[in-house]
Amino acid sequence: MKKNKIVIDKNLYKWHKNWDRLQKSFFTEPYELYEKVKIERFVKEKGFKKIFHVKDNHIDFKFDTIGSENEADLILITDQKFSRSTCTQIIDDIKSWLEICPHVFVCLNRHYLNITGVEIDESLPDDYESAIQSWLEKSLGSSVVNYSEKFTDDGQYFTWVIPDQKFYIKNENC
Amino acid sequence: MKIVRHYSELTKKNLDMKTAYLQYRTGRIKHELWMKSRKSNDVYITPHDEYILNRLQAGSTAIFGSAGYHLEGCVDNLTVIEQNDIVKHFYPDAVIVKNRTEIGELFPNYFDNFVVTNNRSDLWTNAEGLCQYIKEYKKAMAKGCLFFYSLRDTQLTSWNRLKANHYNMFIDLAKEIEKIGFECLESQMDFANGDGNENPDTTNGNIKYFFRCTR
Repeated sequence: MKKNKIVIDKNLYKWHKNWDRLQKSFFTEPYELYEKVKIERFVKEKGFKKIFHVKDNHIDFKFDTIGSENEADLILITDQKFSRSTCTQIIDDIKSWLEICPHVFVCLNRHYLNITGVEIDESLPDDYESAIQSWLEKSLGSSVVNYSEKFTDDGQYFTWVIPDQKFYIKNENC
Repeated sequence: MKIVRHYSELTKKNLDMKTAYLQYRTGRIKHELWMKSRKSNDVYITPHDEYILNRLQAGSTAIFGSAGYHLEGCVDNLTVIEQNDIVKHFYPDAVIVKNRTEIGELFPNYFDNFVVTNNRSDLWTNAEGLCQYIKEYKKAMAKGCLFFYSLRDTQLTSWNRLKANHYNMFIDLAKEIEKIGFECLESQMDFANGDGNENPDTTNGNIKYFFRCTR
């Protein structure tokens, strides 16, 4: 029997609020993410104490975070949505954060960058990961420290827990 | 505690039925439509489903890896092909294959319509890898078969999103698919507007192709 068709014009996709914890339930042994530990080590080694965390899903970091970016000594961005902003907006937001706090650690999801598809820069390197660093340095007018790993993503690198491209950016004028 | 970079460093649990089902549902967003439709006199579909339904030709139709059972009641001679055994538990008519190669072996040159929308197992490959998958699908298509294929631009790998023209990238992909033995009849590419959403159609994929199998 043919049924009546009802067309639903809404996005069915749902983002999990704690994707890390959900993924952990799929495996037998307890584990920590290398990328999470890397950020924790960075925070410890640099001696940051007041971290403002911009996030869209929970990550069980071992450091405390604060509720106001104005009091932060480090702004850490792991929000996946941030990478889905336009390239222009990403740069503007990083610049704004650097005005508030001289130390920013930003994690960008390579699969989302240039989400609108129209912000092309043909002068960037052919290698995508190198291009991301060049784009940041060129747009911010300063050098960045690249904390990313080199790999071809096959969807099994936990990129949707912590975005894969990681950069430490310091406001040299402060 | 073990510190890992990649899934391969971990051992997957043998999931109980409930967890396996929940894991499947996490990755198959159109399953929600089937849940909504199955106890209703109506069938809930997306605009892209409607687009496909309006273009299907007479004959047999396969939907692979796309929770195609949600279109039961809308399509005559429908064969739902999936890779996850769990589907058989709630949709006994499903054909389960472990590999794409089995599709052509089970249904050689058989289907008049073949549909793949945002299939998770087609993700994380480059254009060449995708063409290899489509070559396998083609083995199950009769000559003149209509082929509806859609994906998300964010889940094709190994391209430089900051340097490559996105439209040209996916036009070139269509041309590569045509070389396998298809004619591209229509295509639609809609990218995000930068409002924080991934793209205008994360359910079906924002890159949509409509091909006819030519040989």
